[in-house]
Amino acid sequence: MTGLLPAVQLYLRSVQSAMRAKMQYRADFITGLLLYGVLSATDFLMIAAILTRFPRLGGWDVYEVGLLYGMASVAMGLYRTFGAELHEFERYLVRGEFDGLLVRPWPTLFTLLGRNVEPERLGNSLQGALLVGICSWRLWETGALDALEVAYVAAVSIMGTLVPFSLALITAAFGFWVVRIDEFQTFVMYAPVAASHYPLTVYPGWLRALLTSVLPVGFMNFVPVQYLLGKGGGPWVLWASPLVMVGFAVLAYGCWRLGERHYQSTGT
Amino acid sequence: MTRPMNAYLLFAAKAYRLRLQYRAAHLVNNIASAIFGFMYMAIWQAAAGGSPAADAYGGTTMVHWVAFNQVMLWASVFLTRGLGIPEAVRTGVIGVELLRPLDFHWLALSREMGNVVYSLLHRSLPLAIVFGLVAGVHVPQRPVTTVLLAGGVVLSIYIGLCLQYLIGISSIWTTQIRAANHLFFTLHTAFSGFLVPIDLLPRPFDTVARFLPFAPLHHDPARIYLEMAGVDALLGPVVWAAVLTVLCRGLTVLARRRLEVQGG
Repeated sequence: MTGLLPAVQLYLRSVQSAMRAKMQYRADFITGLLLYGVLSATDFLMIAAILTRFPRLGGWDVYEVGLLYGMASVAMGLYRTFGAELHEFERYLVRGEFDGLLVRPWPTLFTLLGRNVEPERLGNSLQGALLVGICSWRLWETGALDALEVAYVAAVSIMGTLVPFSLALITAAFGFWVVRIDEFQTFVMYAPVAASHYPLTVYPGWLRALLTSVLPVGFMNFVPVQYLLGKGGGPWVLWASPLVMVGFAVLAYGCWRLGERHYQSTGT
Repeated sequence: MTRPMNAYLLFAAKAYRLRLQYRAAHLVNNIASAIFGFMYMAIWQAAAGGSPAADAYGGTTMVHWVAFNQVMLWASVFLTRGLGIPEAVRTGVIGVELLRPLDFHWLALSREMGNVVYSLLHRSLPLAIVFGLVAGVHVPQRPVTTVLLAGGVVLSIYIGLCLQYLIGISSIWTTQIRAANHLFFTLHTAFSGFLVPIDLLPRPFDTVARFLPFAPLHHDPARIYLEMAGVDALLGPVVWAAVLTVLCRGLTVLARRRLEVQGG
C-alpha cells in the first residue's frame, strides 16, 4: 500500500484529467450547470412561496431559512461533483467492477473518486453560494450577523460537503454486505439533506434527534446557524460542528475500510 | 395467437411480478418516503399551524394535502424513467419492440401499469396507512367525491404515464434523457401543487401552473379529495389526457420513421 500523499496527488491528477474530458463537451457542461442551478432554485422558490404566505417558519424568516438552504446546496453540489462515482457505487458491486480498483496499488477510495467528476453539478453549489451571499448580506445589514460570522458561514458551507460525502461512504460500505444500495440512498441521503433545508426545530423530537446523531446533517448548517442567529445553543457549537463533521468522515472511512475487507466479487 | 388485449395484460402482469422481487429494498424506501411526508407535514404545521386560515389552506388541511400527494407520488410521478424506452434505444432492443404486432404506445404504458399497480399496493397503501394512523384520515363527506376522486386519480396516473412516455420517446432523437428528466422534475416541483398548492404560488407562477400538465398530477385530485372542488377540477385533467394522447401517438409515428438501431 502506498502512502497517503502520493495517493492524493494521483487523485488530483485523475480529477484534472476527468475535468478536462468533461470540458470537451462545453455546451453540455453549461446546459447542465444551468439546469442544476435552476432545479435547486425552484426548490427554494417553493420554500419562499410558503414564507410569502406565512412570514415565519418556526420563528425563522425567509433570509434565515434561505441561509440554511444555501449552505446545504453548496455542500450537496460539491459532493455530487466530486463524489459522482461514490454515488453510483451500486454499479461497481452489482457488476463486479470493484475488482478493477482492488488490483491497483492505491487506496480504492481515491481511485474510485478520481474516475469521474460531474462539474455540471456545481450549478447546485453556485446557486447555493448565491443564496448564502444574498441572505448573509441581508442578515449582516440587519445586524444579525457580523463579518466574521459571515466568513464562518462560508467556511462551514464548504466543509459541510463532508456530511453527504460521509453518508454516501457509509452507504457504499454497507453495500459490501447487501450489494443493492440505491434504495437506501433515499433514506440516508435525500431525505436528511432535504430536511436540512428547514430549521430542525419544526420537526418532531425523534426526527430532530435522528438528524443530529445518526444522520448528522444538522451540523452542516442548522446547529451553528441557530447559535449565530441567537436562536439557541451555546458558543461551543461553533467549534463542535466542524469537529463532528471531521469525526463523522473518519468514522465513515473506517466503515469503508471494514466493508472493503468483506468484499466478494459477483464474478462475470 | 394471443389477442392484443391479453398481450398488454400479460406485459403488465410480468412487470408486476418482476417488481415483487425487490420488496425488501422497497420497504426501506417506504420508510424514507414516510419521513419525507412527516417532514413536509411538520413544515406546514410550523408555517400555518399557528395562524388562522385566511382561506381553505389551513394547517390541518395541509397535513392531509401533503399525505395525499406523498401517496400519489408513487403512482403517477415515480415511474420508470422514460418508461424504459431510453435503455431499449441504447441497446437496440427498440427495433424488436417496434416490430411487435402491438401498439408501441399502449405496450409501453401497459408494461408500466404493472409497476403502477405494484406501487399502489406495496408503496402507496402502506404509506396511506402510516399517515392515517399518525395524522388521521380525511374522509370525504359527499359520496360523489369518491367517484370524482377515482376519476382524478386515474387521470393523474394516465397523465404521469404519458409525460414519462414523451420523455422516453425523445431518446430516439437525443439518445439520453437526463436533461428531459431533470426538466420534468423541476417543473413538477414548481407547478404540480405537490408541496405548495398552485393557489398559493406567487404571481405569475400560479397562472403559468394552471396552463401546464402538472396540476392534474397532484393539485386537481388533491382538491377533489379535500372537497375544495367538484367536477370542474376534472376539466383540466381530461383536456390534458386528450392532448397528451394525441402528442404521444403523433411522436410514435415520427419515431418509427426516425429510428436508428444502436448497439447490437
